[in-house]
Amino acid sequence: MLRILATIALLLLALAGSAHGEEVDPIAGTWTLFTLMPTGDVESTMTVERKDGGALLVTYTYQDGTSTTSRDATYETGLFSFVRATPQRRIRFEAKVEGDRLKGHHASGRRRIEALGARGKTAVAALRAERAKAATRSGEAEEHYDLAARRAAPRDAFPVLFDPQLARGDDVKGIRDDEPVIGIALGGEAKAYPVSIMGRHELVNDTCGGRPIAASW
Amino acid sequence: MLCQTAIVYGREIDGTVLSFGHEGVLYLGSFVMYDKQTDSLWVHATGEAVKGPLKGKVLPFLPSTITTWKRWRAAHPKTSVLTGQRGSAFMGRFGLLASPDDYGLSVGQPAAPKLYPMALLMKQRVIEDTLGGTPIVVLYDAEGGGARAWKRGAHSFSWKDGALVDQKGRTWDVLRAKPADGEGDGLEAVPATTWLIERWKGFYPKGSIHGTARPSGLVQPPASGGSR
Repeated sequence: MLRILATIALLLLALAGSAHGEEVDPIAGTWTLFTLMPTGDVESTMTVERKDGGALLVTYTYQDGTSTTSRDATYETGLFSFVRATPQRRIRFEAKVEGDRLKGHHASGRRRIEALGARGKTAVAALRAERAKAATRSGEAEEHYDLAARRAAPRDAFPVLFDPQLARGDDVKGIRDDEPVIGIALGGEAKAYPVSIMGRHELVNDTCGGRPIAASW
Repeated sequence: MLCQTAIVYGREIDGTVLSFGHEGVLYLGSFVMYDKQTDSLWVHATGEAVKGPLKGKVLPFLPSTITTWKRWRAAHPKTSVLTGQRGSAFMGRFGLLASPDDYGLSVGQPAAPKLYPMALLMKQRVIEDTLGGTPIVVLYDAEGGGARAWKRGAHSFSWKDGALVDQKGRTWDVLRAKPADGEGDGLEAVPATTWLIERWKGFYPKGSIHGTARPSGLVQPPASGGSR
């Protein structure tokens, strides 16, 4: 029994030694990326190969299976970046790498979209679990909000209405019959908010039948 | 808007009238509002304050509906209507008719949310159910392209020959939930909101979905509710 244990211990030591001795490339490998789109996370795969001479080759594969390669990737002191071209635009990806995790963004013009990544089975599973937690309401409200809320624009960037201008339905000509409206009837008064106009303001502070209301889209 | 939910709230909380601005933050696909009076942050899709002095309060949902302009005017001839510039084609879009499988009608928020898939409603037209012990009827209005929910009291409804009829064979007006002949009282509306189903699941992971194996009866309120 003791001999078996000793053998196992030796084997483990040997394995640990070999893992330790092998230098892990800080960036090379297959990364799973979670791009934090306003409508939810989008997963993609990024494979980084280190060629002879140290050059990096990046293959970026979208969720639908299409992929693009890039040869201008750089990695220096924990910062990784590369540029990929889509038919519409050039997108620069920049990320800070820490072990098997990375955190960065895709940037195109002034637009930036955050992304998180992981490499290797364990790290990817852990990140996927974190993202699932962020995608579903769980636990205490404020805590989850802090975990999952993302700023998309500065406060008041959307022109919310505080003094909305309404007209009699009979007097308004520009609305098509089949246009969707948000309708409310309260205390003898009826109001309609065309979705097409709400799409610009998102929020209208108003009253209906004497009651203060907020219509939102 | 990203969850394509149209909600009308009462904006008075504990005797204070609040006015809301846009925080610029997205949370689970819903935009976030702040109130100018206390600077608390409120989630559009649930009407719940998640931060600030009013944290834990929930704005009351008022019965509103999403329907076509023609249909709304026919039901409410004296209606007024918001005027102004339109938004982008993306933000000012309501995609229910293009992809009904993606949508559902949510009732019972925030305490006992239940979702009725729009595809099922379109097929059945009328679903009778109970919500927290109250008998309700959920209807799909094909002409107006929207769904609504009402307290049905002692009535029982079915869909016959393209019309909503009660147990006595009387035809009802689907948009106003009143007998079509004008005799008798209409039903009281239940606040109900059209949602993208995936967004709804994010907010109400334990909420029940009609016609599926998801737990019925339920359920955990999404957060602290309005009592704190």
